[in-house]
Amino acid sequence: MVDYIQIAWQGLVSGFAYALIGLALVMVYKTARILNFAAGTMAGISGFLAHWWAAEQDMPFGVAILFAMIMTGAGTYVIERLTVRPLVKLGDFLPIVIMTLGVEEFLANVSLLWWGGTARRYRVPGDIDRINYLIGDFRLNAWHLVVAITTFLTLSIVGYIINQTELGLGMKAFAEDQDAAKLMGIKESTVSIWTWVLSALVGGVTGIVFAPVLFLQQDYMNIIFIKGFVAAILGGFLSLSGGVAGGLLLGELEAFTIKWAPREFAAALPVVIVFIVLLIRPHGLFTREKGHERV
Amino acid sequence: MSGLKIKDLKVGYGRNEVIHGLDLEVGPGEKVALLGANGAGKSTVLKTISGLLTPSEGVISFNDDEIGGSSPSALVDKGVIQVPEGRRVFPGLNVEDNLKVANYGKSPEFLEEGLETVYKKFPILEERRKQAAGLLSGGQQQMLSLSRAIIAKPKLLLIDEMSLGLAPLLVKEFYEQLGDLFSEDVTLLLVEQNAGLALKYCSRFYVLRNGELVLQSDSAEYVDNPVALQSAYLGVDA
Ligand SMILES: Nc1ncnc2c1ncn2[C@@H]1O[C@H](COP(=O)(O)OP(=O)(O)OP(=O)(O)O)[C@@H](O)[C@H]1O
Ligand SMILES: [Mg+2]
Repeated sequence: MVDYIQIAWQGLVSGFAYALIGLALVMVYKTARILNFAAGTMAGISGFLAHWWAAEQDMPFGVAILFAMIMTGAGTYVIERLTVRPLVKLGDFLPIVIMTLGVEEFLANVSLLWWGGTARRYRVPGDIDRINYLIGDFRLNAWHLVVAITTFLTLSIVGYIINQTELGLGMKAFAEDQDAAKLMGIKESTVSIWTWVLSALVGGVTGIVFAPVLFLQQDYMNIIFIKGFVAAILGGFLSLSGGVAGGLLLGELEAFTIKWAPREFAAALPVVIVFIVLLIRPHGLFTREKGHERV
Repeated sequence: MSGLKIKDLKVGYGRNEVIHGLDLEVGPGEKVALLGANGAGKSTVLKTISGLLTPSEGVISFNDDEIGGSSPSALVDKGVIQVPEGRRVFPGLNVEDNLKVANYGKSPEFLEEGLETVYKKFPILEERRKQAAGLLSGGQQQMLSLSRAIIAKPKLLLIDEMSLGLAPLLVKEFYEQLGDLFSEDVTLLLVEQNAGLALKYCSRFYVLRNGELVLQSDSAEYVDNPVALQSAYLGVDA
């Protein structure tokens, strides 16, 4: 029994990463109808900055995280203005998506030049990632607890912004009907840029908090990005809570597959899931089928 | 103050020009109808005035302020408000959030005031204010769409086919209410397919066919015989 709880907890912790990246992807897609293929690499750079500043530049951990988040926000602001905005005016979906792929390639190479290709394991304050509590036979890693709390806080803050602030209202209005939102005086470029920044900050938190779990490597967020993408698909790509739920579900499926099936199968799991979901419920597991897009 | 003035407007979608040089004026506080058959280009004209489309040629001015090519949000700030065809409420947002969006970027005080006015005119919206707008009936959605415009405090109001998909009796009620919903001095350009109703409410009208103006006149000359307009609509003798 404890065995199952242990596996379920492990799945939940991985699921947090997929859920957060899924949320970041859905957010941008839903409001701006853009798929951001650079999301994973951007999140990885946030993680690198924070841990590199803390471990190699002797910055206090909290300050390093703060600086990394500021850099993430500012960098994303610049990226959106320079690469996305000029293409949005042309009104086509594909060029923008290709542009985000270009940004991904560029950032991946920058971080490779900066940090090199070897994996590192930076220490976190108090080495708390090496502390394990035993509750009966259940083993609880202290850093995993930090991951859980951070995820919960991040989701709460995003929920608050979406549901209680004017920016959130604008994002929702835009997601529902762009032209009608414009006719209400909502500025497309303002909503778009803050959506990008918010999405990148969610990604940044993920990159930072999961770096000690994953080993810091130049492309360590790529695999999380792919699974975040799967999470978003599970959720139908248009539902924020669907993306989060999809991430948690994927984490659990993965954890229990590893337990019972050969490793090779576990690695193929995301692809299998996407295939099945797209075949049977293309609008996602958690959203009811919507009518066709209004014209 | 000289109201809305459009000179030699050309606009379309991509390379496909839809309006081929339109001249149109609506004096301050005047109520004018823009009529025409399906696909004549009526909505295209409204969308251009409200900034959703950018003119390829021509001048649009409102109260001597050149507004052609401005962004929709800049135009909303100037009081140019469009009630779009098909109502376009945000179906997943509740009624009150729909109204909140109409006050976007403005002080919450205005919203309170606006909500009070709107709920007084349409009590059913207050009753259903926590319900998703997508669940409202067509008529209630039109009330909501008009209410958003009320909250936005228009100086120039553009209404696109209020009658679309609604029962004739309901449409008649809306037209009878219009004068009461918006202040006297609001300048109005109203698009309608149902000429009979529009002529009763507006003092003048234009008829558009295939993106060209084919007739303009005082409503009084046609109000008792809107059928006579059909030849202008369709380009045949009725
Ligand atoms: N988004 C669009 N993209 C391309 N062409 C369009 C678009 N919207 C309208 N058109 C074309 O522009 C022309 C005028 O359309 P418009 O919607 O302005 O007509 P309308 O007079 O409002 O008609 P209706 O009474 O049916 O609403 C039509 O030929 C239509 O096919
Ligand atoms: Mg139309």
